[in-house]
Amino acid sequence: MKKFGSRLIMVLLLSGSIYWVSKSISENNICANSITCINNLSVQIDNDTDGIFEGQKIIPPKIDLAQDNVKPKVLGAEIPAGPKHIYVDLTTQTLSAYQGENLVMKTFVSTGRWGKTPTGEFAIWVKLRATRMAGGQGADYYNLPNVPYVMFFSNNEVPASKGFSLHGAYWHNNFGYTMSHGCVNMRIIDAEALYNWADPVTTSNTTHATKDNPGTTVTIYGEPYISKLPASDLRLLILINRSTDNLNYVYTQT
Amino acid sequence: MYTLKHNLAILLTIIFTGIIGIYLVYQNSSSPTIPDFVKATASEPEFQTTSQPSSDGKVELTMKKTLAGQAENKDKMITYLFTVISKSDNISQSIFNQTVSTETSFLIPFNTFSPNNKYLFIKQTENGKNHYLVFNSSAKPFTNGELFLDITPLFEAKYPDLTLKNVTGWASDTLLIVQSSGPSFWFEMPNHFIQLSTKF
Repeated sequence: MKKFGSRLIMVLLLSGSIYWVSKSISENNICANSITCINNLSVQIDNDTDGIFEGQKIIPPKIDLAQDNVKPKVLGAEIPAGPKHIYVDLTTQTLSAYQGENLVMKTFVSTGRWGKTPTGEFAIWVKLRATRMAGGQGADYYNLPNVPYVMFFSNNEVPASKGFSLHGAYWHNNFGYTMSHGCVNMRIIDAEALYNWADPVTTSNTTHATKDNPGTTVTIYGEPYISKLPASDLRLLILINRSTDNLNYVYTQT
Repeated sequence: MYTLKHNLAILLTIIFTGIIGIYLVYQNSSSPTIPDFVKATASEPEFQTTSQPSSDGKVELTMKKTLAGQAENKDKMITYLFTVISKSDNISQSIFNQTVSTETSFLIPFNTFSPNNKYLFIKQTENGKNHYLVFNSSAKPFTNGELFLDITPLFEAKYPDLTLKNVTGWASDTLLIVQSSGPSFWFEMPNHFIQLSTKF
């Protein structure tokens, strides 16, 4: 009986460990940026390093913070004050921003293709002028410095540590179609305008929402059309990148 | 006597009035009708301008479409003029100018510029068929001497069993995303199609 009891405890401990590990892996997988959202959610500007996305070398835009001192034109400045609300429609891949009942911005965005963009009602909890975003693994690995105008959002079900955000994207221009690992990609000019408009009111290059300076509500809804790009295509892109000099491409469908 | 003179005066008045009337009617009927095209050209030419900025806002592509003045052309020709404007110094560079019939129209897609602003593409619809024309933003011709690359005939020549459905935007600085009736493709500038294994 004593032997059975100790074995039962061992089994329970083992099961608990397996559950904890699998849960941890699962949570990591749904993280928007599986490397940086855990290690580093702070402002970071790297003007002298290249990025990588879909197996291709990316040259990020340089960021000159001195230029930010020029007061930016703020959306909705001519419109009566009112509660701010951002809506992201995954079905139409559009973002709409309202000040009271007035629409101040409507534009195309790119949401999750290689990772799911969460739906629900969120609030912006921190705004970063720019940061590095990295994640994925193998052919899906990406590492992007100077991602501009980042607005991280969260709620009780999707905590801040998951790293989902609205931000500018300089590595593609295919807005209106899914292109991200779960974040909401925007044209840089749109992200800049939204960043300067949305709350918390920007006070520095890192602005946390507080009780006195709360974050704008972000509602994400709808169901995107996603035709997942299989790993074979990602591998192909790496082949392309490596064979740029001789322009000999080999495609193998798997 | 009085009656005779009176009747004569009345008769002369009627004849004189008639002559004046006939003259006026003749004058009116001989006035040339101003044709519509003369009226149209008498007004200032009108333009419809649309534009699309690059993602970073540093450059902008504008399309000016001639709306008025075309009525003088029996075939109703319309002129499209495409210009790239550098926002930092406001320098304009004309990249494409074409006069076409009303069966042909042009459109600037939302994702027109490549991420590095080196290339841009526009959509041309001709008799219901779409063409996607890719240009150097600098207006410099490609190595084959052509001012632009028309993706549609290139695709049809290489994949005769497929139909090009859409070109949505840029996956990277040099990769255009091409949707077809079958799988999707990358078109890597300047001349390579790369088939993907599924729709993108």
